Amino acid sequence: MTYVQNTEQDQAEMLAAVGMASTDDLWKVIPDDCRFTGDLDVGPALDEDALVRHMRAIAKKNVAADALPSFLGAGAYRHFCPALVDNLVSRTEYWTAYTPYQPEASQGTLTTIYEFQTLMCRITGMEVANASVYDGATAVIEGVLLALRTKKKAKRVLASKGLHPDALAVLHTYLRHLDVELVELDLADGATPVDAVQGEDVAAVAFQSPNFHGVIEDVKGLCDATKALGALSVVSVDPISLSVLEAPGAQGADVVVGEGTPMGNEPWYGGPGFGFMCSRMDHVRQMPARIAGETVDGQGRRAVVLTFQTREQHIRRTKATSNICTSQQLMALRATIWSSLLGKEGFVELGKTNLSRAHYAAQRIASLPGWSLTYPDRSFFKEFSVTTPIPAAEVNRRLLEEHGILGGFDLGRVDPTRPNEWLVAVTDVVNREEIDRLVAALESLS
Amino acid sequence: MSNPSDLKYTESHEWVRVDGDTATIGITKHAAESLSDLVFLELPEAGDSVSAGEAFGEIESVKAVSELKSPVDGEVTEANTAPEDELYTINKDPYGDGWMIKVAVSRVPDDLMDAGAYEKHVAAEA
Repeated sequence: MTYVQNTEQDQAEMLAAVGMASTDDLWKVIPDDCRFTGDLDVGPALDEDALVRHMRAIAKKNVAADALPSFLGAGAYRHFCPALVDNLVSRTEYWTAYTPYQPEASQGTLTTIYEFQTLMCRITGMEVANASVYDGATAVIEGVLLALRTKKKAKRVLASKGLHPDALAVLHTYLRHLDVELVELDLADGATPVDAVQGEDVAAVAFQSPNFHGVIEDVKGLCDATKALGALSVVSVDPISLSVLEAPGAQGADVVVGEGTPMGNEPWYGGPGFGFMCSRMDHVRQMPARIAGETVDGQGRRAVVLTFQTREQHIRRTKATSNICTSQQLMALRATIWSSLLGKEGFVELGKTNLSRAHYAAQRIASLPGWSLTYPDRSFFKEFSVTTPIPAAEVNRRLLEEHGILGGFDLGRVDPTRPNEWLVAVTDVVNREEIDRLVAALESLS
Repeated sequence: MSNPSDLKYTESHEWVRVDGDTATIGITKHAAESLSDLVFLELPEAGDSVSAGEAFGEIESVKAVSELKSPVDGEVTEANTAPEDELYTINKDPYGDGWMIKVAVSRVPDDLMDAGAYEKHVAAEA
């Protein structure tokens, strides 16, 4: 960003232009009892050199996840990302407006969307994908809304408590004001019981696999039970897990959604991320957001266009399919480049590395006296819940302060009845030596 | 214009033929021509109720998606679910084979237009 001056003379000119005597006049519209009138507690003004030193000192208090061994996941995961992704995504060809309404001027961007959709269909085993939505949580509600539009007369939604807490919160936010009943399904031994999928008047059954506790759900069983109710299944997945697990499309899923960040994006500061959404051709006209489709131009040459603009907000206003008529284009492009660099074999290899490292870590931790897996009879991919001998919050504090290790997610933060449950993510960016360091550190804690 | 004189018309370009208790509903030739190539039609099922002025379905062309509004109150008895690749029937024969739904009528509003009034309405919109 360029440095912009704001001199007293500039201020006087601006105030004169709006007919005010002082900046205080600008704030007069704010009621007195809402205004803070004392001095802000920020210390005296600093010169540039002192300010830079001050900011650097504050920045040093941050601990970056890539600067130490990290076992933190809970929905935001780090995976290997080739430097080439940063390089390619920065090419000026992609510095276009994010909305490619003019196909004649946007074949590059539209082609990357088309490739992204193809990629997501292949990974999930589904027939159609959109160009992405905001994030994993909004993707879940968009899947549920698709089901509600399709099953017009059904007014109930079943949602597994194994969904990410953010996804559940977003479901409540959206459905609270609709004539729809949201029923949460309790987990049994960490998984959604297939026989809990029942009831009349159900439009959608939403669940996540691996679920928030890392447990791999009975996807086929849950999808079959959903179908038996005449409802649509909305399955949220970690795309990386589909490198080694069966695609939900092959297990009967009607809508597959998820957070796409693990593919070629970093957790950064909790965003930006992107959500993906896939379904079957039967439901294509109820898919929200945009879909790029292949066609031919006037001279018969292959071309890509946005196929469902007719259902978006700029044309249909309040009657649009969704109030999200956009995509997280840059993040989805990162995922597309990342996937093309890994290739199918690289993707599977990455998945196997996650699987074997996570299982090695789980085995080592569970062998420590006082430590155990919370759900030893369940299958997991790269994340698992550990029952800790001391509160998980205490485990994390001591790991960071005494051992320079970023611990797992303290499940007590989302459920106060689980202070001794600790969600540990082990991905390919954590190596065996770091896992051994974690195990040795845990041994010294208890 | 060749809008049949035995039909009634709405401002949103639907027509209705009332024959005893049964109403047959479709879109006008002007509507079909304005929409151009049709790609998708969504209609209600038999047993669904419709209300005058309320949407009973939607029609999608390469240009736009529009709601279909019922001219009358009643209950759907039949929907003309032509396969997608035969939607051109609506362009070709909007007042005949291109009909959309049949309704057991409970009320026909007084303010529906006759062919002459509808043609004036179309001319005024142009």
